[in-house]
Amino acid sequence: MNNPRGFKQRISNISRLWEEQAYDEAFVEVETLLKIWPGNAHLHTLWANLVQLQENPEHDLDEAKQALQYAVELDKGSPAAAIELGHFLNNIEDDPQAAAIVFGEAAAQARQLLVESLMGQATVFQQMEKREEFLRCILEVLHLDRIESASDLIKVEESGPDFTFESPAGQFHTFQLKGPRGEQIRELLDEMSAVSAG
Amino acid sequence: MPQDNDIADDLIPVSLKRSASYHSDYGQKTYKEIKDLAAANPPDQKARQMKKLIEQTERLQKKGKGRRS
Repeated sequence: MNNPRGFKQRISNISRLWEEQAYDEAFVEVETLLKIWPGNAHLHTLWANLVQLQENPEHDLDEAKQALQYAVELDKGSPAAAIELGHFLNNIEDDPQAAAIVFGEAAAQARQLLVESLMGQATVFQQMEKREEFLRCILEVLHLDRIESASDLIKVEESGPDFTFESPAGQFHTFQLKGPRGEQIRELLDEMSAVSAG
Repeated sequence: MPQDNDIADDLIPVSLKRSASYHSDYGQKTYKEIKDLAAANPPDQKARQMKKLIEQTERLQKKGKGRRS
């Protein structure tokens, strides 16, 4: 059972029990899997969520919260557990201030993952000479970058020069390309321009 | 999805009834009564907390749907 295929089957079984609202049975399955995969953040999140849904609970809500906090620590790069922790803090503990901080961190992580995915996609589209798809990815990255910059309170002297380019829809957008990501985007745009000109 | 005429106690699992946000004196109110009290000006704090528990339950219940691979 401690192979990826067995794990996938057990997770699928948990989802089926969950769908059937057999939460206590799903919980037993998760506990079994946790004995084999104790460092799996997703399992700790499932465990915490199922504790909340149980009609015959053997664990208290503080334990569910601790499991979510542990899941956040185990998988710091992923926002999934942090989102669950945010909902727990807001809905169960009625602590919107604490929830806002956790949701903010989750949003930053999610944005970072999205940017990395889009940059990867842009690189591939550039290689495939798919200009429109490439520009759509870059445009989305630049918009996300702008959101990130607004929350970072960037100093003026740290900002790069303005950069204007035309989107696939024919609209002109002006952005500041800064930092390593700005360099990477500028490089990709230059390469795409060279390919288009050639 | 909770319906307006559902009773709060039927919507909130036993586990969440142990939360400080659960108020047994609101347990026999309908979901609509709770929503109306939570939306009142000023909002009824107990109703607001009960509404959050109902919404958390619904959210978690939905997590099992369509996740099978």
